[in-house]
Amino acid sequence: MKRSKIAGWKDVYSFTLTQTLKSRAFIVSFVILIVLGLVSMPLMNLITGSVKEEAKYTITKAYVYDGLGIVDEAAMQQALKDAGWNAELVEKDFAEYGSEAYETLVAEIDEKCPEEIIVSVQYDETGIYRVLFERSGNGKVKSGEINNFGAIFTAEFEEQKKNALNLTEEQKALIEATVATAVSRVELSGEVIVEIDDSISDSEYWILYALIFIIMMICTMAGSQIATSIVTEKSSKVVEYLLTSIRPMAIIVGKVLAMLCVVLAQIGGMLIMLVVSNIISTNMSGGESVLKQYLTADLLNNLTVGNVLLCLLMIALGLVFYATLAGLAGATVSKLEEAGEGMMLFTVAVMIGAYMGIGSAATLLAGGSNAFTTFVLLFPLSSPFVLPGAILIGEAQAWMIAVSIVIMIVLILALFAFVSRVYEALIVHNGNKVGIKQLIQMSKK
Amino acid sequence: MSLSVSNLVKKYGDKVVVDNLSFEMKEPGVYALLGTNGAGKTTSLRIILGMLAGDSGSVLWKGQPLDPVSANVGYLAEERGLYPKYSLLDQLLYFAKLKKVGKAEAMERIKYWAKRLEVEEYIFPPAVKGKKKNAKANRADQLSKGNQQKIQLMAALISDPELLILDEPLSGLDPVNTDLFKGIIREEIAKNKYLIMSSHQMPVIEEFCSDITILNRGKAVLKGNLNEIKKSYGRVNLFVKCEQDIEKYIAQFGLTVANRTPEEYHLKVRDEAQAMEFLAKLMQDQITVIKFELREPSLHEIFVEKVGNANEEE
Repeated sequence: MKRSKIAGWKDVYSFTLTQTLKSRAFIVSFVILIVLGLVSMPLMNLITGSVKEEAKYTITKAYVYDGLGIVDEAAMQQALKDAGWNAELVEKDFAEYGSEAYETLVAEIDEKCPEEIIVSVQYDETGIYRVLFERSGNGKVKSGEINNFGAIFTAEFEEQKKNALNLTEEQKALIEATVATAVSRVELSGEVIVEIDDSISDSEYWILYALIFIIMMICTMAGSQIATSIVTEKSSKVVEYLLTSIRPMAIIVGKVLAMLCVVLAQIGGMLIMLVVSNIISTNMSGGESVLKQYLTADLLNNLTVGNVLLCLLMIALGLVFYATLAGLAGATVSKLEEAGEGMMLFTVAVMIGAYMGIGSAATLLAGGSNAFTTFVLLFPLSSPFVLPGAILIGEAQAWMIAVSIVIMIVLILALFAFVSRVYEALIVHNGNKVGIKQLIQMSKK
Repeated sequence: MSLSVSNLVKKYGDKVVVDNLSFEMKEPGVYALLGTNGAGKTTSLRIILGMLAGDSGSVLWKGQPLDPVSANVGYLAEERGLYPKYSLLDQLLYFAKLKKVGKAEAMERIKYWAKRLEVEEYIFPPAVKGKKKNAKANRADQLSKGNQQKIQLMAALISDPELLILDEPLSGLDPVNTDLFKGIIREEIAKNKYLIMSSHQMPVIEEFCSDITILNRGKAVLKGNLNEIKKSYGRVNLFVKCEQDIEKYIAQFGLTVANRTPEEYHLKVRDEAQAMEFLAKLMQDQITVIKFELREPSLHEIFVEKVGNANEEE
């Protein structure tokens, strides 16, 4: 790209950015996104009933029936206390779950002691440990409170279950270690090829999925705004004036980057609010942070500065690539009402890319990497969606990242040149939307 | 020579919209491009500005290919364009910045032109004590068409351009604003600027332009200095107003009646001598002549004749 061709892009960028940020449409949509981000998790807590409120401390006594002899009452009491619960644990032996003594206690709690509960620990013939809770029917102890109480109880029970085996730390580590499989196949040449199982965990899958979704959301929002901005300039004929001062490529570069920043500001604001929302929600419910459930220790191990930077670079390149495609969509139409028609190609490209990304994430979860996942990580339509996540979870090899970045940079440069040529050729176009065939002809001129 | 347009050609498929257009401006002044709707005036101007790629031909400014981005060119487009929702001041400052005019200087010029064009209240809306500022007050979509045109003219003039291209500058303006625009055009001419103007309004062209090209379906059907063109037609338009009926004299001299109103005759004479003979005869017969005006054809008449003839030939 010649420097002289984009001279002045910064002026276009700063003007477009400033005016868009000042516009009522942006302010309204930004406030909506911020509010949505902020209230989303506490709202979910309210709906699902897992709110801390006074309810957390409603339970005053918990009768524990442990038919297995695993529960260490003192340790359990301490675990609950550490989590802020002051409920007194009372060991109870009913001989059998549902026995007459059990039912009597249930009736007593229901009638006279609505702040007390019964916890029964069992092991059934299907090989499952079950922790059952019984509460009063008058609703004083909410189900959300039982959930929170149960989460702490079962987590501590998991530990005590292992402790009951009297294992050494070494043995415990061996049991807790994850199992990976490897298959070797022997080629006709005699070469032995080891196929390592590199499938990803559920948490990693959800990270990939969430990133694909967020990037798709940014692409779609930015794409629509970029195309609209370009068509508006064309339909209002301002562009005729601009072209006496600046070249088409500078207009395209400035507008695309400005609108991209606008959408990043919107999404960034929303993501920050989601984190705040998560903190509020965690404090409200007293339970574990939703984000923490997905950001496991394994994942955090991959979060090196290099990986994060590569991930951000890939996201940036992908967004610029899709934003330029949206610029092309805007350049092919001359009236605002045709913008939707012009965006068809862009929408299809986003859908293909995102669905390929989701497909590869599912493949990685089910069986690890293969030719398809490698293709998706390198293919320019899908790599912007899936590669950033793959880098974060350590599923992208260095050569893949390098090749993908080179492909994206080359493609973006070529696309910018092509879009500005189309824009220039269609600047005074007043007819219908220009088809792919005509676009290809223009690119050859 | 400062501006030279040579052999511009533009085709859309088989349709030739600009057919070998050439003209030159050796000295500062105003060059007019005339033509009917769809004659190719705006397309020619867009090619000159490099906004539209011509199929062939060249545009030289001071001996170099004209690059509007590096040259100081002002343009008032036929289809007026402003950002409808943005503040007028922000837009003008942006346009000035793109033309590499510093902010302080741009503000000075905006203030000057706002006053000159009587649009200060829209660009700098006065704050009313006790009233909340109306955010929409200084937006383009709140302006009348004429006022939008003034803002557009400000944008064209903000860089004090050497070459000013005005596409139908006076269309849609009321008489008061037409005079305002004419005054500004006169000032720009006085500053030794190069102006290219396209217009349908023949009196305006006659008022300002020394050289013209009449386009018809993309082709130049007449080109040259306006005075010389008129001279070449000779003084063959005779306007006569008498107290008595002069119909029999008209028939006697074999004159053609171009137009007749209750007041006067517009006659076509062969030459000045025939007109003088006609006047002598009226005087001799003691006809009271109130008006006897012999003049060259107007640009309007030349235009109608040229474009009409070209269409008839086709």
